[in-house]
Amino acid sequence: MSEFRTAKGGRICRKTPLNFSFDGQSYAGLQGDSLASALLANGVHFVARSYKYHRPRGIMSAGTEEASALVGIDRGKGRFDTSTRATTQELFDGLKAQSQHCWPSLKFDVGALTALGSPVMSTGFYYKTFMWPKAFWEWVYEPILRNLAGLGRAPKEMDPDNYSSIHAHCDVLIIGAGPAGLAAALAASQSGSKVILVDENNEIGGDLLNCPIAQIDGTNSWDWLAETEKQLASLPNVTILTRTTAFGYYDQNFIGVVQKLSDHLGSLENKPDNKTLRERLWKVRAKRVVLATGSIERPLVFAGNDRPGIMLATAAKTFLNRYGVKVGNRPLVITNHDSAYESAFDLAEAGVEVAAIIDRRAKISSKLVEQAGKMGIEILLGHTIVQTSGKHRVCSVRAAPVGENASIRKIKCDAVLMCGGWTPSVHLFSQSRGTLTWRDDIGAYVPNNYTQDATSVGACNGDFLMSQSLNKGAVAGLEAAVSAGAKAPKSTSYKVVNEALTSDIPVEEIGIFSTIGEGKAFVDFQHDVTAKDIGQAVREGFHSIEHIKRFTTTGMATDQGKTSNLNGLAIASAALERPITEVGLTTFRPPYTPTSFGVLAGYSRGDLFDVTRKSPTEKWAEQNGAVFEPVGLWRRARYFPKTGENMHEAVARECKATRTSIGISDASTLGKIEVVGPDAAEFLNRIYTNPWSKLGVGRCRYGLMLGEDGYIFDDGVVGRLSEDRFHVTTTTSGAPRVFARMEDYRQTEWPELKVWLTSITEQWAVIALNGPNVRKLIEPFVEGIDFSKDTFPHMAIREGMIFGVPTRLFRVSFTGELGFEVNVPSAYGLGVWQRLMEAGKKFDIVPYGTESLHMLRAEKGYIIVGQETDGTQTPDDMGMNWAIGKKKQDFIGKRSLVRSDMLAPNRKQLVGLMTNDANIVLDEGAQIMGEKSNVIPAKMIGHITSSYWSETLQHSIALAIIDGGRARMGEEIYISMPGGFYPARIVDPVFYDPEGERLNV
Amino acid sequence: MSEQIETTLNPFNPLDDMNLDAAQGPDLIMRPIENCARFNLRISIEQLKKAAAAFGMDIPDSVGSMSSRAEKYALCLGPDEWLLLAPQKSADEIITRFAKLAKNNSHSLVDVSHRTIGIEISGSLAQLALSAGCPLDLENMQIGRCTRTILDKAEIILMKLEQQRYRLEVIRSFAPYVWSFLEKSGQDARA
Repeated sequence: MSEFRTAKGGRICRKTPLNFSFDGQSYAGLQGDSLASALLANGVHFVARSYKYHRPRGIMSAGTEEASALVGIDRGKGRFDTSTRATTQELFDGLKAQSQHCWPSLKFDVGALTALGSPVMSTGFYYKTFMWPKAFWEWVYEPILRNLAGLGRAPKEMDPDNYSSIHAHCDVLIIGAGPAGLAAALAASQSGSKVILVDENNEIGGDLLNCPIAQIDGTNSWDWLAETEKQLASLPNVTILTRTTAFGYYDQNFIGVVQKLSDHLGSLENKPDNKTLRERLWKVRAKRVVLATGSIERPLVFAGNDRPGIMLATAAKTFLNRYGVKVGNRPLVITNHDSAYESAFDLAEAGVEVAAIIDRRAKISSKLVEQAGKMGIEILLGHTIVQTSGKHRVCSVRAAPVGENASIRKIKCDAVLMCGGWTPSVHLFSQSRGTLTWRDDIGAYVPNNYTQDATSVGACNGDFLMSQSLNKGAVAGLEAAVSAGAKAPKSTSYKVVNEALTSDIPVEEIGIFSTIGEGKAFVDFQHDVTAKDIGQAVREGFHSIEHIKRFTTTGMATDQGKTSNLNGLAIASAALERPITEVGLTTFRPPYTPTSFGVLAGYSRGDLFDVTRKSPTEKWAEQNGAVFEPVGLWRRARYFPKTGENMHEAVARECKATRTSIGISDASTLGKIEVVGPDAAEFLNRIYTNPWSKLGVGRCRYGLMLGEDGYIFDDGVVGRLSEDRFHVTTTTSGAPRVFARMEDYRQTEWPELKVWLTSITEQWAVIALNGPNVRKLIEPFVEGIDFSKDTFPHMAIREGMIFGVPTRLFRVSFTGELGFEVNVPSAYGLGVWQRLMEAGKKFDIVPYGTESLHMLRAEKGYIIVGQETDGTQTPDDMGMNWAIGKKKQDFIGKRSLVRSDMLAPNRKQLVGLMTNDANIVLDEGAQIMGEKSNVIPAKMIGHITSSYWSETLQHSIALAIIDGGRARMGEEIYISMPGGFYPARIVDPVFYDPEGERLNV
Repeated sequence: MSEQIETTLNPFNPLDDMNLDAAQGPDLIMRPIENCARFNLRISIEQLKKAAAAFGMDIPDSVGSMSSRAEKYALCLGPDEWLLLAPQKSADEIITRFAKLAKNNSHSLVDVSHRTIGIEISGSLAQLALSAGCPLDLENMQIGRCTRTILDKAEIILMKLEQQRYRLEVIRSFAPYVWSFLEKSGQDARA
């Protein structure tokens, strides 16, 4: 057994030894140890190098506030965690930890040499040095700094762990299972309220765990804890979650909580089922929240306060009482608060020789003096520390009376335990947007005004005594139960003997323990910010703590200044000669402690990262080698290559087949809305630019929709099924916004109209058939529809049956060929497609995808909203004034169309372009110039919106928008592309079959 | 579309191609619901009684409530919006009866039988599996209530049939995603 492990006591399991390694060296620990306590039991204090100056650092706390002992934990491939606090990492057999910020080794670190340059790297160094020349930032400074900077290293492999998340609801959420939280849970749960109790430690108890001598109602505190745990665990309405951190307090009592499930279990690499969860995110909605988050001891600021072996006084007490570990053989206590005496007394009780207690205060209670005297501990009142020594571990300090630099006395020690008072943990309260108030007696901020249904109890509310925590916790629990609807619960009061000591602390005592002495006096241990840095920030003109914080980066590390914020405030307040309450207070933000990306991503990875919507016929496309592309959430077939074909060849073949015989394609993703009611036509009159009242039953019309600004919003074909029923189609990507806007206008602008909307996008599978032979293909399989040219003309809709399945059959065309769109109930889409492919063999039917779809419509000059338009095009710009119902009194966007700017003759207008060289396919998005000129800046007159090789025309074609384009027909213009200027001629945008005769076969 | 479907074509359900047994166990049972008729009904609340007569059973008038009888369900999803579920064979009759109603009482009845896929999820872990993606307090949702809500990234309509039995209706193209999500969250609920 190591000399630092006590003979008895603690909550570790002495029968279960565990092996672990740190920087490759093997050590032994015990079940129940934290990595920190196990290292200390082996006499290891020096575990890290600091972030900026690479100074040797040790373990400065025993808990979640740890700012120095940050290590990398390796749990196997892809399971490397950087900057893990050694104090919160539970030990497991085979744990591998390594130090950070050092190379080649912790003891000999090249980076520490940069500390030699530290006088140059003063605060604000980065801001001042790397500002100029500006261009250097991107190419020189940033890449170099990125290599040097950072806390630890990021893992490179994919994270193989499983993360889960769940929504939970409760009457009372209690955060923190110390005495206050436990008393609240006991009270809140007694009348059946649903209670969730969370605590970040591996066991409940909080401060009780390091106060075994306390007695609650005559029972030893640990026995009381065991009894309480048993009682709570037996209640079905209580959920206790340990290793669980409430990290964020959001609106309406919505709390983000992370439960760690397997970091303490060791490597998961050999678990083949891969079902073990690493963490679970609880998204808790609580009727009432009880914050019992405790408090954090403040370090003291003095020269050389960061050597390994210097730690918070309460940490030494925790290591001793909870883990059975002595942090040294001759610890020295320094303090300005009573609670440190308890650590000294506990250690002395365990047989440790306490070097001395150095107290900055001139006077302390006689009880303490008496007790110390009994234990043979020397007290130096009115003293402070001016210097510490020890390269890799503190070995002595020099003490002197406050304010003097004489009578210096050297005291040998192997640990220094410091206490500068206590800071209530108000992080979550502050996140809930509650406001704080300053309390002079305890020298800290406490909760004041609540904006959410919550209450703070115990140390986080400034009540540091265990008896206060228990009794106020019980009251809060009772209130919470009553406000959640419980009837007449019993009240309880607790009596505590031997509870922890506390005392007031004068404001002038906060922060600086010693202002004299050589060496750096650290305020923020994680970001290496010193008292001098804060003074310098003030001298350079930063007067608000928000600015001082950003200039010095104090409190901006991953610990968010848990141990440094108040000391920083106090030092700034002194430097500014303003009361601490006038220096300001920085905002606490989630997460309370570092939270893994994995747990925040939760289910959003792999197949569940996002929804992939597949059309009803997609299965056939997949089996037949289609190449897909994402269109919003949809996955659509882009083209159907035959063996050896590239996209260009496949598209050429698909287009040719469509123009000469039959092309088949899936159009199911188009948005569809059924508009029903006696006022349906009037509703459409107002939504679309086109007139609808006179559209006959069984007929279709192309509809154009504008925004209030008069710009094109969406388009689609609308068919009239009966007097009061329309089948509206929208673009694929526009479907949700068109439906939402229609519903918005229906409900808020025109509630008098008797009309209703139903999304039928996924009710119908749509198979588009185009080409001269289409009628011949489908006619034999359709029942109840007369196919003759006159009775079923272009732009008509009929209802009947196809292959025995009901259909809404549209005669429409987006290719310029004879076209039909077969709508069948979605479940039959695949079957109908397969039958059509089978029957179409004799016509050499060819499936085509979105690429050919775009090609075929471009040959006809049909626009795609979002491709030819970018949200600033009017119908006239697109040459579509024909779509405007001139006689209509109003429609959305009508008034905007007559604004003077909308009528300007030189607006960008849609035109076609034919390149002089038939083989040059222009770049979409390329800029167009009126003359070939290298003069910069050149005048751009427009840009290419669509561009393709047309197999049909054996010529490159493009659509473009050009200033006053329609008046420039025949003009030669120039397109600027990476290869040079390419001449082209402005032509009509309808390249193929301008008379539209092919539609009417 | 009022004709009875008499076709040799097989209807295709996007869940058909999935391994539906992956997450099953006595504590979590999921199954696709057989095809049925679904209608979106929009009508003013004053005329609801007439609609109830046409549907052949009571239709509730407060949002979130649901009535059911003999495989028929009427879900009130909004102040003037209902989802009607019925056996497929009764679809024609319902359409015909509402068509007669239309002459004097304007309303909108739209066939959405194929728009959604129905999934039933039951067992002691059903609620936990759903709670992974649904932010509502399902434990305190009353039996016989229904709501439009979300399951992670998908919109769903959720019906609580028994304390440990739910039915959800999800837009067809979102169904494989929802199934996979519940499979994963159900597995996690066991962990």
